[in-house]
Amino acid sequence: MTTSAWIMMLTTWAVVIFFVVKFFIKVIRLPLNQKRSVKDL
Amino acid sequence: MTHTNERWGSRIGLILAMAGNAVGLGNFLRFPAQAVQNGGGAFIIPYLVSFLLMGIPLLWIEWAIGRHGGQHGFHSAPGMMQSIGRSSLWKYVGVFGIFTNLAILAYYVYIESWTLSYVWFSLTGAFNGKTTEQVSQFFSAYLNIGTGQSINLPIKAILFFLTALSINILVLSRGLAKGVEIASKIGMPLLLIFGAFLAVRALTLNAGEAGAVNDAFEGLNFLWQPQFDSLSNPKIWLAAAGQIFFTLSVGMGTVHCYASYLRQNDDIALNGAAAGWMNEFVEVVLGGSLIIPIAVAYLGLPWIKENVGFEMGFRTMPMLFQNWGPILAAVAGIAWFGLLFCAGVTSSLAMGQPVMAFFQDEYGLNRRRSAITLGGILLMLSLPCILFYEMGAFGEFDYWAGTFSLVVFALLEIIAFAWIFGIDKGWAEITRGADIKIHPIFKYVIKYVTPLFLVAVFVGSVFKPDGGNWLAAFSDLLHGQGWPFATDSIIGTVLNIGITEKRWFIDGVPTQIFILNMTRLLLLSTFIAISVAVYLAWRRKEVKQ
Repeated sequence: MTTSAWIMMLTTWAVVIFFVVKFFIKVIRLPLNQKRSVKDL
Repeated sequence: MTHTNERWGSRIGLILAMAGNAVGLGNFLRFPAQAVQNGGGAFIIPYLVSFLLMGIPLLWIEWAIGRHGGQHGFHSAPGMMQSIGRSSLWKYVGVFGIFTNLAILAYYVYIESWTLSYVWFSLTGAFNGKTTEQVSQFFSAYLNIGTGQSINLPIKAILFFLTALSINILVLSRGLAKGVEIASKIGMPLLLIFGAFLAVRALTLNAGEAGAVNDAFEGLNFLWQPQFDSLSNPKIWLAAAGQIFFTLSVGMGTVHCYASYLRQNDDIALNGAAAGWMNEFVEVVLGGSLIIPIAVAYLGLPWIKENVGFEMGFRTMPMLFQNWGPILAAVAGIAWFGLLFCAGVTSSLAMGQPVMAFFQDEYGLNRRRSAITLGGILLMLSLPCILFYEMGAFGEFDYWAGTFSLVVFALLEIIAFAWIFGIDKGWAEITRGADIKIHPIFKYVIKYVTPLFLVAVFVGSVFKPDGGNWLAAFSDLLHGQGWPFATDSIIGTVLNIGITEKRWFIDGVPTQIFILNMTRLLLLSTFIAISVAVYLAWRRKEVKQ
């Protein structure tokens, strides 16, 4: 693989994996039904 | 109207179901083909720009419309569109949100059934010892195509189709938490495991080992080598925007429906972003590491450039796996087609749910009867796709439902949301209960930039020039040679450009153009029938009041 192809692939993978992991950690830490909604009050 | 008490059982279940809705066959079969045909590594730049400026905003809009509709007792698009459009006529725009799902399901469940049958064939060693041509012929024989007959009657394929349809109907009849959510919790992790297994195997293929003639990394190089000069070509931007649009399953009414089962103050900002990025992971990281590297390792770049396309997954992959020995070939076949089946079934369940919700909300049917009704309608709509596959009925369903309707609905819904419901109210709706802070710039992106992207995608589909070469087409126009419409542009399709035989029958046998016109008539009749069903449902409600 050429250097430019490596850079392109690894940068894209890093960006995608960063956001997936970041958002999934938040999702797992904040279960949906734990928050009380106006409807529940 | 019956107010359903259905809710999501868990947040992770909701995200997996939403991601499963977006992750489909296109992630593994369409994305790599689009990337190699549109500038390789440079394709990813307009692709990610489109994701941020069109994909993510559209996801948030659809989650917001869905949650808003759910608060008013609506779980399908007609009621939701009326509640944000402020006119009773907007409910007919919502018809797209039922029609698209029904029409796509009619052929999508058929493809899903191919993946199911190919899992079985891999397990039973049906491809053992077969050559490239024999595996390709196996696919043609399975679909009963290439026989010279007008009608395809694939008995085995029909049996597997009925099995796939029954699985969908059974899961949908169990409801949201006990059916769709459980299926997503099983299907999505399985898909990731299958994908990871194949990606590791693919990326460790070296020339001279296991029959490979090239290193798999040659395929990756082909896919990721940036050709930055292609960034100035509008074709690349339109292809990237189109891929983002179709991969996220927006403009269908499915995201709306799933989001309508949320509570008023439940987060949609983080949920939408998490599901969207998960789809990107499956598409860019997994989808890009499977079919192209494996095929390049065995068949070389020139073959890929000639043959890359949708059917490659069925016509070629089983033969390539044979090089790995009988046991690993069976495991790889099960993983590849199992992965496609998981991707397909989580998407088809998402498409079935809005139709089910329409029957339940507007006609008071219970879950079981809704599911049976949906199954009956799908059976009727699928028959032309199966029997006239080779004559183009299948492609016609895909074009009008899977391409045209999606863009039209998305364009109309963003106008309704940002300009009629109002961007201030819309922004408040998106950010209420949010677990992440969305940058306020997205308020302006939603109002101005995303609609412009959608207009570009729509205009691009209507006027797409032959070969996708816009600069040459404008040059032709300026030189008085007219506009060279592509055969797959909307105008080209309506005018049947590229079909030379215009007669409907030759010696009493229907021609392709007859089948295409009848398929269009069937699709139009389906749209009108749903509009009538919406009209009657609202009249029924008025009488009750």
